[in-house]
Amino acid sequence: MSDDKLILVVDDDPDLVESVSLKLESENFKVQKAYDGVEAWEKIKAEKPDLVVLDVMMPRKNGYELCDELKADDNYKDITVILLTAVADAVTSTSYTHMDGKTTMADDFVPKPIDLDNLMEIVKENLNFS
Amino acid sequence: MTGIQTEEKLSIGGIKFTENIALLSITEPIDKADTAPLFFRFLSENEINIFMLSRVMDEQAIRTDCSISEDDLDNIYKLIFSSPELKERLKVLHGLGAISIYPHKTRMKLLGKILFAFGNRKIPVYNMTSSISSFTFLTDCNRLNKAAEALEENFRLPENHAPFQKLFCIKHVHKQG
Repeated sequence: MSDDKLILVVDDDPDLVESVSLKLESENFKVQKAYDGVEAWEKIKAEKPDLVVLDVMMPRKNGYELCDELKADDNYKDITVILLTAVADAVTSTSYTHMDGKTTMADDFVPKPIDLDNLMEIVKENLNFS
Repeated sequence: MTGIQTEEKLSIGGIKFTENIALLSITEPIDKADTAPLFFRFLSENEINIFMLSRVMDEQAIRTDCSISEDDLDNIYKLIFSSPELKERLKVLHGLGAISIYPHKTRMKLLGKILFAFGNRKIPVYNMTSSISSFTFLTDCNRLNKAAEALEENFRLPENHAPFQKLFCIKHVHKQG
């Protein structure tokens, strides 16, 4: 069932990208990888993913900026975005996250350090698999 | 031409720098190797992160190398001054930086070519480690750009790859009171 779902994993920590990708691949998801927000945008335009696992703090374009841009674009606003955040306390709901008074739309979030099983549950839930 | 020919170039996903690293080396006699365990207990008690750790043993001595952030060196120096034995056995090399190359996809050929590229540019490697995705090399901080140039010359990088410097760092800080 997950074979036809493409997930883009975006983080500037290559080890995190690799471990999350391996876990997703073990669940038969197709996986793309990117290491910052700019590269992520390029990958999204090249092949639209069903879901993006997106780190918040990254060089060049951070996760909040990319999430905002995706959700403001009619072509991409239906992509599910799961934020990875080390500032879980700042996340007050699963629909909106807040940072420095700024509101950013995301579909869900996973606090860092990541529990891969928890992430997998959230991914499946958001793709209506569970 | 010093670089690898274009047709032989391996592709890599990116390069990342970590600056301000110090390498600590403890050399102790094999029959009285009690310094390193105490030293690591100190690191643990002071929540000092270790980036890399290696231990080499021969018939006479054990050498333990570990790298930490230079921000933690004040604590280390305090410890050294309080322990004559540690002062004698511990060497500190500061002003270092790490360059990580990813993903390695378990390509040992990549490791050889990286060392070739660094060797051609006479870039010293004080320590190296591998992780699930990366090869990381410890060199002089002021040679990180040169090391990146050597890699750009010898490997195929994505056209619009990420900048080398890490722009964000999260550190756990204990609140007073």
